[in-house]
Amino acid sequence: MLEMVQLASGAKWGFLADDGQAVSGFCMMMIMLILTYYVITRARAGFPIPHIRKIAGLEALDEAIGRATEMGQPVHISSFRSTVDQQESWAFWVYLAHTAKLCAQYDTRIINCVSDEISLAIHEEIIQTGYLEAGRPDAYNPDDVRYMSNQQFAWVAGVIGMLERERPAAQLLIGRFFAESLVLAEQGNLIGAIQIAANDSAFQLPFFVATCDYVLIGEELYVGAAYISRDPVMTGTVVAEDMVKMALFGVMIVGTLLETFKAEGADNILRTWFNY
Amino acid sequence: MKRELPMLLALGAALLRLFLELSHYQRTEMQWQLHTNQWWAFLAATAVFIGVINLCRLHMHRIRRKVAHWQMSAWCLFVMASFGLYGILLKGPFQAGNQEHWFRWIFDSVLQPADRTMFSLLAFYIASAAYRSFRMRNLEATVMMVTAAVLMLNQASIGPMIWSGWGDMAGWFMDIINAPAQRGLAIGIFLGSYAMVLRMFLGLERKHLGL
Amino acid sequence: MSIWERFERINPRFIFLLMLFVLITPMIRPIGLPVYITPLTQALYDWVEDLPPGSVVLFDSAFAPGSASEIEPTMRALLHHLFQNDHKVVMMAQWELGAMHSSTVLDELAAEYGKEYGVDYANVGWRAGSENWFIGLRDDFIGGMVGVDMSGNDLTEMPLTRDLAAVRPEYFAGVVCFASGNPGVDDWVTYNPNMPLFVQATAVQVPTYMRFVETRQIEALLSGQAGGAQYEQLVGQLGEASRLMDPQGAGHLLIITLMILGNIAFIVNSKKRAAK
Repeated sequence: MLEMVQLASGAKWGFLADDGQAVSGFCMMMIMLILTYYVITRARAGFPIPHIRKIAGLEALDEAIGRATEMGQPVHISSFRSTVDQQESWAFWVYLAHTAKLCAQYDTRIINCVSDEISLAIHEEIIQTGYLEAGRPDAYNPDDVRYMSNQQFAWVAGVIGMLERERPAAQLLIGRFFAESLVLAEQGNLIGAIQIAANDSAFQLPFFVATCDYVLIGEELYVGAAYISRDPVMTGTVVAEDMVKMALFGVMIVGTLLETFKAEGADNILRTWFNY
Repeated sequence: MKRELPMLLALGAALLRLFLELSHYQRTEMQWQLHTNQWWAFLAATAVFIGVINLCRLHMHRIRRKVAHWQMSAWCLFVMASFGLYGILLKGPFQAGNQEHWFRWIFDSVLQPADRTMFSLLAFYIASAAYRSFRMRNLEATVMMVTAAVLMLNQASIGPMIWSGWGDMAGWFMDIINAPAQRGLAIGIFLGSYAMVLRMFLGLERKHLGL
Repeated sequence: MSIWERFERINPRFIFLLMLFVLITPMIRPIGLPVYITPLTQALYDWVEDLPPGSVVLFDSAFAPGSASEIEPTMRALLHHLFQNDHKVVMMAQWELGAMHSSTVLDELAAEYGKEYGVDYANVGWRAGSENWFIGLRDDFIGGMVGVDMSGNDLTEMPLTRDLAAVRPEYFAGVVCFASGNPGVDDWVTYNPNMPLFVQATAVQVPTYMRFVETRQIEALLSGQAGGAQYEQLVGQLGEASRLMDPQGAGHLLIITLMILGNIAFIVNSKKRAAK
């Protein structure tokens, strides 16, 4: 197939892409990288790093699994978009590992419905490792990691059917969801499950807020993934992220003032640079 | 080695992608992309079998144990096998059969309506969710409820019929209140996901390796 | 138990039944609610009107058949408009099922206007590779499509596509993205910001995309079925969206009524509980 490639024009070199924001984006990336390295090094050396506030949804994770244990019902944890090349899937894996270990410790079934064939093996591995770490490898049931379909609504139909039949007492919807979010969460509500959602897609947040008991909003999905590890090196990356965020807020305020009070026809130096 | 090799591979691929994106050397970029696309397509196609095996194992297990609704498991396996085989055998495994009449008929008249039906469930679920959650429990919930009512009235043509100002009011909510909040959320999500990417490529996060 | 107490604990299945009744009735006996054109819909219409004859417009199908009810009416109305004004259409897809679905619509409308495949319109379909593939199109359209259209025809042999070297404004007048999730609009804004972008999105996505409208990263934004109905009105081709605006309006009214009654029940019952 490579022979069929038709090149539009001759090859061209350039240090940075000719589309806008490449230089500023590269600089932002380097700043974040250096900051992260600095904070991680500090954490590794044992120096104190800023504390991360408690997130209610994460605190409720143990409570939800405990409730399922008391009721003798399974825990359902899933992410719709769980392809291996997405950062929300990577965050989901952290939650999956944590939940699997807790479920193994409490002797509670964990059900995971998968929508991506490639992720299936990874999910199986993560859950199996959770059972191994809890010292109960024999309790792992491979039939509870279920590939439903890679098509959105076929997957949803499978999951809500499972919810109705097996009635998990806790439902954790973590990662990227689309139109299926409301169907899943409302079905969870109908069966009386305690529900925790973590979502970085602004489209579906309103649905989760309306239907779930706890919601981790936007970046809290990623922060939570570092937080539940309780490892200062991991939380160090969150500290670096917050430092950049504060700096960006500063830039926004300065940029707004410059734009508001600049002379007629003059350039806003910040706007010009960020478009560079 | 089980630990180091995948992490080194991931880091190497990430650095190469970053270099190509920044340097923008067209010919290399295209060839790299075509290669990765082909690897990806091959991997995805192979992985479908893993998914199919899992699905078969699960449903065969249900059929053997005659659990409740096991007939549906048999139906699921039948539909999957028949549609798959029909698609593959139609014009041979390496030919494009997606324009064939009956293959398209199954897509247009079975898959599409089924997909639309699932999507339309949202109308019902949103009604019960809105009824339950939009209560004046506190100030925040009241603000959310009023905003929802204004936007719904505007979206449904009924608002502008009653009062022409609904459109402006809904526009104000969308532009002045909603858009900046969305931007703040987007900045947070970007930085959060970037921190996640760094954790992954620096080898701090190893859950996917079973470690 | 008083009527308000009963109402507060109503079984959601009654609400589902009520919703079904409210949606079906206006389909059988239409009310004829008026459709108001928003400036964001008008912007797409005006852009098409101002295009020089023979312009090539790129369609991007980033949706699955499930959300077609919200998206397809605009696609149809826009195809009417473009073919009436003698413009050319190239269809690509970021979602594989979107490619299949849109090809049916495109073929139908092209046949209605007697347009010739490969000269007036073409359908290049979907390719695996997600973001990598998408970024590649910015530099090499034909290469990125591996040289062939959806049915395996050579793109270099078709008069319409042989000169379309890259997805850039030099070759395409603009792109209309029909989106119901990711991948979709975000990819255009991030990886190909120089292309004039027009969006038909599902209604639930519109609040998120408003931030791109404010910054002029999206030139026009049509919201769900209402956007379709508005475009049908503008083009004068009343179709499915215009017909379904009545049930949509009635459905919204039901939700608002339920919200009001639910709050009355909540207040009455809260007072009773406080008095006890």
